[in-house]
Amino acid sequence: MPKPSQEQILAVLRDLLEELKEDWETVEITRDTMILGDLDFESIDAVALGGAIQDHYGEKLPFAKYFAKLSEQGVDDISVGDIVDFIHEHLQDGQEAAS
Amino acid sequence: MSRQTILIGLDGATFAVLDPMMDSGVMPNLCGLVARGVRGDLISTTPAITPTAWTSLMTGCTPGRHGVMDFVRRDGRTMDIITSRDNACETIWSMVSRQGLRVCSLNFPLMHPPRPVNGYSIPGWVTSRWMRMYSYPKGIIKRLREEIGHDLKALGMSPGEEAKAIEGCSEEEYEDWIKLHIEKDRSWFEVLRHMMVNEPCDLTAVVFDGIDRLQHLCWTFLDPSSNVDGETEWHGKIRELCLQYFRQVDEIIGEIAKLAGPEANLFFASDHGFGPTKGVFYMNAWLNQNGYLKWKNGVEIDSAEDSPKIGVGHPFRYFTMLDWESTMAYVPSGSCSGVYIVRENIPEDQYENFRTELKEAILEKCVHPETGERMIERVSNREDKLPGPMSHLAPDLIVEPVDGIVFSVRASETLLHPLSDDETKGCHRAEGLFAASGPSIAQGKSLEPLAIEDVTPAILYSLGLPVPNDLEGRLVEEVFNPEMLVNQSPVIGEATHSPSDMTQPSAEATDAQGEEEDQREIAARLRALGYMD
Repeated sequence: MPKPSQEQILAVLRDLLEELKEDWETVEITRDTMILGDLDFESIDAVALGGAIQDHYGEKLPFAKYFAKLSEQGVDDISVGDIVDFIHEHLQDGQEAAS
Repeated sequence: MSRQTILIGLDGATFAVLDPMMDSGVMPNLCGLVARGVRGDLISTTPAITPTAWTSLMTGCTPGRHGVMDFVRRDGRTMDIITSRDNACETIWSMVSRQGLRVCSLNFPLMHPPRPVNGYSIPGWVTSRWMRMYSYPKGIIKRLREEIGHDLKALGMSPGEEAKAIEGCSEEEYEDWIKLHIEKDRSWFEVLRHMMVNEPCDLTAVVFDGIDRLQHLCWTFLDPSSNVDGETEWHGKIRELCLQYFRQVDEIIGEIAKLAGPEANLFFASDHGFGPTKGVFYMNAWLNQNGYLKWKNGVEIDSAEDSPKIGVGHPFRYFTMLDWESTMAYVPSGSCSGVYIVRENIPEDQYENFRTELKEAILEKCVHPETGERMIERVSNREDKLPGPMSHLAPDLIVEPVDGIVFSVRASETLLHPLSDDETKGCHRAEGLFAASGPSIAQGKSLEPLAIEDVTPAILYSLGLPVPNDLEGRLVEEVFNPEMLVNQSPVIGEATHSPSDMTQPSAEATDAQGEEEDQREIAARLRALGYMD
């Protein structure tokens, strides 16, 4: 299997985030949606999101380093597109979804 | 014979606080149940913290076997939050499920992502959105919301509110904060009651975690030796709210006992005990001052005048404060009772000498800056204190502070911040509680202290199941009445299964195909965790 495209990753992430939205949350999920600001995630929700993405792809991705770097840089929110780019950069070729 | 069994987890509960509550009539239901059954101290794990201790209680194994050492797991020069993937041992929910009995597990930590059980599992220590995702079976939270009739949002963890238990908050916030925990416990009870009535299980288990939180922030109001009622109107009001919290816990216990009926066995257990915090010791600051740790340039340093902070709420920040090229040893979190050595910066052949030198230095030089009193009770090598196949995940040195001292990971110009009486909060102690009541239980007996891993065998025996031969916990026969022990001789059964086993009840669970699939799943899991290429 070739490495998924950014569009395919976005679709996976969108499905996951839709499932995480509460019934009363109506924000549309696009590349520009901010994880904390728009989706009202706690920072620990974002960390858990990294775990769920790794479960989906069946591959360990360096989310911990990514979040540490963001923390070091004083970045206090990230967009859906940032996460898509990160996943695309780090997924190995030949990766097939585990779930 | 299988007997319906209820496990009521009371996070952080200790008889030191609950005995006065029972004696003064605040907790009459618990008082009656304990008087009719057995009671004793339950000695927690090292470290005596929620994820480590509840995992020992749920698996019958010590941390050296299950591998859960802290709220976080080191990941190179950063860290990650631990999950069920980090528990290397089979849980009691799985043991019970695969032998054909039904379980319902509510609000236990490290239950996410969920593993299939023959029944229900709703995890604790997750925010409400992840609780919905990580409950088993999928859709159970949606169903409960519809059937119970409200959003159940209070079930979820609120990290900001949790942090206040450790780091403190303003006087104006106390009232709402305590009410939040009253509501949270009430919500968990609503779920429990709904399940007991509509989906009765052989083993039903729940954790109420507000006791821990209140004892952290409100220790002054709960300490049996203090008398804050008369200090100010505010003190009296907060003390009364705390009592209201404990009255509700007791009402819930009474309702659970009624729902369970006289034929059920009820067990009570806490993951650790509590006592007053006497001071905050800045362990990383000590390592820095003694040449073992180097901060990055520009790191914010707490001044001696600042309120003491442990360092929770920003899990990645404290790793990014270290100069990893020059740091030889560090403490990763305030909850971690130990010091990790940065192996890349110590030549392999010098590791043991370095560790011995550091151990002696910590023991002898971590002292009260004014009185010279030792801050550290004991320092042990990890393989001695936490032996087992997962020992390598523990800190290189297990560092146990003297009674009432907690560690901070923050950078600080002062090493010790003693707490004055009006700053006093509560912190963990090893002595938690165990109690049981019911037709299989001995009556009116005080027990010698049990180990927390002894709870799993007791629950299995109550359910009429064999005790796996590889558990580290022992079946404490004194818990049970003599007739029960004659009529149902304890049976030692086959070893526990890998936690990656599917736990559907099946006699053919270990056939060749199953084993092959297990091996594949274990390998995939180890790869995912970075242990295999």
